[in-house]
Amino acid sequence: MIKTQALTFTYESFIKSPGIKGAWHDFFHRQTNTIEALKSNQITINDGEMVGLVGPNGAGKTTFIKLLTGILTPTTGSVIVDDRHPAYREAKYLQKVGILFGQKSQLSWDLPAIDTLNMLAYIYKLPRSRYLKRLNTLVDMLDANQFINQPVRKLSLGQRVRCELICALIHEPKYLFLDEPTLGLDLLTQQHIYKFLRAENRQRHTTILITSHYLKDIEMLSDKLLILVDGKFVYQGNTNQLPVHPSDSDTFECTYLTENGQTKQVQLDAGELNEFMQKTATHNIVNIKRNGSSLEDFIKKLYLEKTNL
Amino acid sequence: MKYLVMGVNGLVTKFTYRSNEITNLITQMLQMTISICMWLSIYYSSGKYTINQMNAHQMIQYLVITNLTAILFSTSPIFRFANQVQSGQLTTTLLRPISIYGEHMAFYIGTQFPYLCINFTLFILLSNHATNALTFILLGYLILAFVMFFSLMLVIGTLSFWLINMWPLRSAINACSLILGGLYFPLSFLGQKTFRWLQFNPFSLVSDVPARVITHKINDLSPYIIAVVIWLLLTMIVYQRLIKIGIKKYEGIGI
Repeated sequence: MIKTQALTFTYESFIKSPGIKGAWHDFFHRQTNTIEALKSNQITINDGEMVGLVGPNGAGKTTFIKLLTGILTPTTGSVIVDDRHPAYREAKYLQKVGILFGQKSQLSWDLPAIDTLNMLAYIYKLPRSRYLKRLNTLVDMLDANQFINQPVRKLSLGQRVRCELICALIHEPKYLFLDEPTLGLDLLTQQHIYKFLRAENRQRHTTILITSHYLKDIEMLSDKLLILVDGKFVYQGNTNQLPVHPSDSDTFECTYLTENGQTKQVQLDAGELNEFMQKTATHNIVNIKRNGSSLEDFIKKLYLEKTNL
Repeated sequence: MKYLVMGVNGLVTKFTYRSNEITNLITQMLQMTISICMWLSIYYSSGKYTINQMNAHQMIQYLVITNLTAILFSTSPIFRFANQVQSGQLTTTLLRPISIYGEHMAFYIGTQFPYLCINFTLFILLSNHATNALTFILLGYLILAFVMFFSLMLVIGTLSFWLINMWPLRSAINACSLILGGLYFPLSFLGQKTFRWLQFNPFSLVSDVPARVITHKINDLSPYIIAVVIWLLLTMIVYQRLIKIGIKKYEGIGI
């Protein structure tokens, strides 16, 4: 179980004055300001849950993951994962955790991914037969056979992320933290990863916490949702119990042919789309494009809904 | 076993960058050749057989050994650690059940392994001491000095938690290595008073001392072994302290 109580994390940053005059001033009198990245948060995640953590850029998502993995120490309050304090970096705790940072690689850049994996097998003290069985399963599931022996620097982003996932899961962790795992990936690879993570959660009862600023990621993956805005969790609950649905504000861009053969385009909401479909003959519909709402719009809507309740 | 695999990975990585290694070796050899040529011309032009109780043959031996040890005792751990802190890559080590010191040490031994073999072989061949005991003591001393030097480099590397750029330090460390390590001239040439203190500095302990043992200027290594042990303990204590404070400062944000 993951439990945080009155969790706060602050750090110091510098204020840089612009121009040469500012640089000269800063050289002698550097100004600092304290930034509160997380503000007195209290959350609970049960074992085996698939939790989505969303929030706009700079909301504190990565900071939260770093606190859960022990890279950062809480300023005040506490984080308990599996009855341990992550900040102590105990070997027993680290054995149970798997992490993937979409923007940071844990693979040796100059070596093939298999060399890093072989090293991880020794680090996590995996028996040879168990390691090979797990490796084969993961390689097959993620379709990584073709590039597992290629130097990492020669891999595409999608191939690298798949290798990163294998690294994060090779030791069968109880807790899996994924920070923006689908960043920059094509749709097909994203689908592949979603399917794989679902299977991992189902088969091994792995607790998965996935951060993203793509609502689609969370909709596809999580049963529980955490929304973090400006360092504060504004929502925690089941994804299907949200007061507003992420897809509610989707709009549809429809291109169709008029009776005199001209091409026209209209923007419709979900209700109007049904009406449009009934009125327009199918052979006159050229294209229908769905535009999802932005995370910022969704959160704004959620706020409004909560204030109305 | 896990650290052995990390060492092997370090060695394999080293072989990946063949041209870098060859360039590094050529540069070091060139530097050594220039020092030798300079000293030979000094010997010939002065018309003296010995300068500061060293003949030309001993001087060449001395310069070859100090320059060879300079390749073995590399300053690379400073910049590997600093790079990991600045890029946020240290996070990877922090997330694994391994020690930062152990991982860096294993990688350092792995990358320096070919030079360890070359240096040890050459020391055995060059040291024509009457008893084999001193040769073995010298090899033991070098292993201890290797760990001490690595610890010192890691201590300097931990400063990257506070300094944004470590590259201005590179020239200072190179200068220390060249002058205090005796890569241009034996430290004893600086005069007895200065030499008495400088001979126990870490750079001298890893290059000047082995060179003086080979050229028969030192027959008793015990004061130097004590000096290495003191430096080792000191660097380990400072490292433990700095890493503890530094990790708290580390935000894992990278470029």
